[in-house]
Amino acid sequence: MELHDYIVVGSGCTGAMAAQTLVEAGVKVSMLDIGVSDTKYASIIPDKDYLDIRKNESQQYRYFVGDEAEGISWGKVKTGEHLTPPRKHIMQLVEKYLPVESDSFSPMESLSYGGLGNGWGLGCCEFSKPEMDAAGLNFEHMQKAYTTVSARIGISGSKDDASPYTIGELNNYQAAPEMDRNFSMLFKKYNGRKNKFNSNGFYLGRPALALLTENLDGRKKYAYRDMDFYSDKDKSAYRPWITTDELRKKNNFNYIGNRLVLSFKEQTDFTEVHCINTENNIPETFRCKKLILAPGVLGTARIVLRSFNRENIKLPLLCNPYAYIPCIQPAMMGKAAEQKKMGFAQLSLFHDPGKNNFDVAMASIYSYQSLMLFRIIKEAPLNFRDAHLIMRYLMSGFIIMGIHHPEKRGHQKTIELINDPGSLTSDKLKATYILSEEEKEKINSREKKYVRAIRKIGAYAIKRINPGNGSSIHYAGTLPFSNSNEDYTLKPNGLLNGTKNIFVADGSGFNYLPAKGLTFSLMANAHITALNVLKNE
Amino acid sequence: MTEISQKDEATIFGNYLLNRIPNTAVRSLYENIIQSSGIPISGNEEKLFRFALKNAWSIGLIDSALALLNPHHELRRRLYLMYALLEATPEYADHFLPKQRNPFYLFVILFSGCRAIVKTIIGVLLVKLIA
Repeated sequence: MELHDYIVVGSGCTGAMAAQTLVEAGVKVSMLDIGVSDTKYASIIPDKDYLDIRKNESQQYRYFVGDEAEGISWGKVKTGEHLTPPRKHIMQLVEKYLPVESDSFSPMESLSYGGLGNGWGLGCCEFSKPEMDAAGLNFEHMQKAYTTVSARIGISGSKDDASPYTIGELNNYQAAPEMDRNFSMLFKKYNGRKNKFNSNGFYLGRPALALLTENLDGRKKYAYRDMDFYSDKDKSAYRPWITTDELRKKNNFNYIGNRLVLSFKEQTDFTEVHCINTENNIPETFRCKKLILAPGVLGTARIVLRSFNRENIKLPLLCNPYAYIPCIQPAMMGKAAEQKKMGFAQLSLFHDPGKNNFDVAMASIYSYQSLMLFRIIKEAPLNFRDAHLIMRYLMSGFIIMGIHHPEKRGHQKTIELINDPGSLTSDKLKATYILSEEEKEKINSREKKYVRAIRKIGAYAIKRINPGNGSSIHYAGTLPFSNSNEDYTLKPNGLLNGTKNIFVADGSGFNYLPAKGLTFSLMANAHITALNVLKNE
Repeated sequence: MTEISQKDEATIFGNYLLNRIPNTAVRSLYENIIQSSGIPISGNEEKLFRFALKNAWSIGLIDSALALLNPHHELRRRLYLMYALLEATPEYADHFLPKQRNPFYLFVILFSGCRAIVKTIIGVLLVKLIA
């Protein structure tokens, strides 16, 4: 049996970043991944802007609504249901291979080529020093890693009131993309009242996005086509598959798809990696010198629990509480659709009452156009005809504010692996996630403050929607960083305690989860972990 | 009772939402999706569903009432599907894309809101009567 030098598990943001660091160091890397991709819609989406498509493309119903109308959700909204048909593959096979039992937590996981990164909103935030200290991350190492990751993926942003929470100390970033009319108006009003906002701990500014405003390494700058929820054709938005595709051109990288990693076993001279070949569901074993786990926090927990004695083991879980608030900016009602627009967040509103860049909440603010009227019309308690007339009039003034809250550990936030003879892996993840009354109160009070803040800049909340625990898709903390040798923890360098050659490159080690978009920090941490793997040689 | 085909159903729903009969392509798409989804109309919902199809004038009233009483009723689900298909058809794009309006259009919106409330009141009575 071939002995692989380095095996990276997973092709998401962390797997791709760890693999790139290893490959660039010249070592031989194999990546095990299932790698589901969209084979149905990607090829039929034209290189045109949204309005042009709407007016001219007869096949548009296929990617807007779906061949089986899978783009239409009806009834109670579940995590991931908002995905458009070309993004639905992100969750394909998940129910089959990653079963979860819970009545308090519905996570979103992915077995796709590029993982959850395929649906990433592109928000990039540097964690502050207090946040890194609480999470167990090394500030100096992370600062360097942010610069490296930024150079690799391409980040756009600007210096404004929000930049201490977004680009932080970063120097290598491109100019922020243009704002549409809706956001220019909001930002102008904020700038007229910023002292009042700042005194209340609110800071509004441009988000840093993994979106190009200048061409980079064969990727094109953003063309404002407003097709961001459907297509990544010009690669202006960073997706981890872009990195993996590039790595696959190198001789020292080997991508092995259709493999679900179940567990590992360390032997004297090598590590066995036990998988299922998902083409035929036949078990398979790989051997390697070093194993780097990056299948996402819940995936890593499954692998580690299976590999050790998992009985009665409950791992801690961190997940940012999340709510979204549709709002209307009356000044924009009855305005025509805009040709140049984008679906990514255009403003970020941070709430930092302590003014110390710790325990900060973050709201990402989006405009609403390319997700079409049909997704919102069912929310109106009116007949479809009248609702259509009203919603169409309001549409240009719609903005969506998605609020993430910071997250600390709690007694009733755990996961465990339980037997399930009916599942293909013979087990399933049981998750419990219950917020304390104190946490609920704090979240509620914070969201009310956000509603008041957005009103002051001319947008009015319609309602507050809580899609349920797990819907933030930000998970961490299952194998916390620790300086002790406790089982089910990670050493600060990412090594799994109790092992010699098993490293974890995703967010499993974070002891605290800031509300700021964590993907950028996850990638920086994955890069650092990969460097540590190389040092551990 | 004469059966109403899914093609006719598509015509009736399309006509209600668009104020004109939708093109053949949209009607066929609707029909195919309904057939492949295979979701039957439950016994409780069937009576109202059939009444609405047989009496197209009542759809607006029943839709208004259901939006309040039972927003996930099968009739609403199918109207919603037709709405999405119409919106994703280039021929009807102008009917759905936001349009520049003058400030007085707000009165039209207010009138529509009031009309919707009246429809809801009448619709609730009608739904109770049919049930």
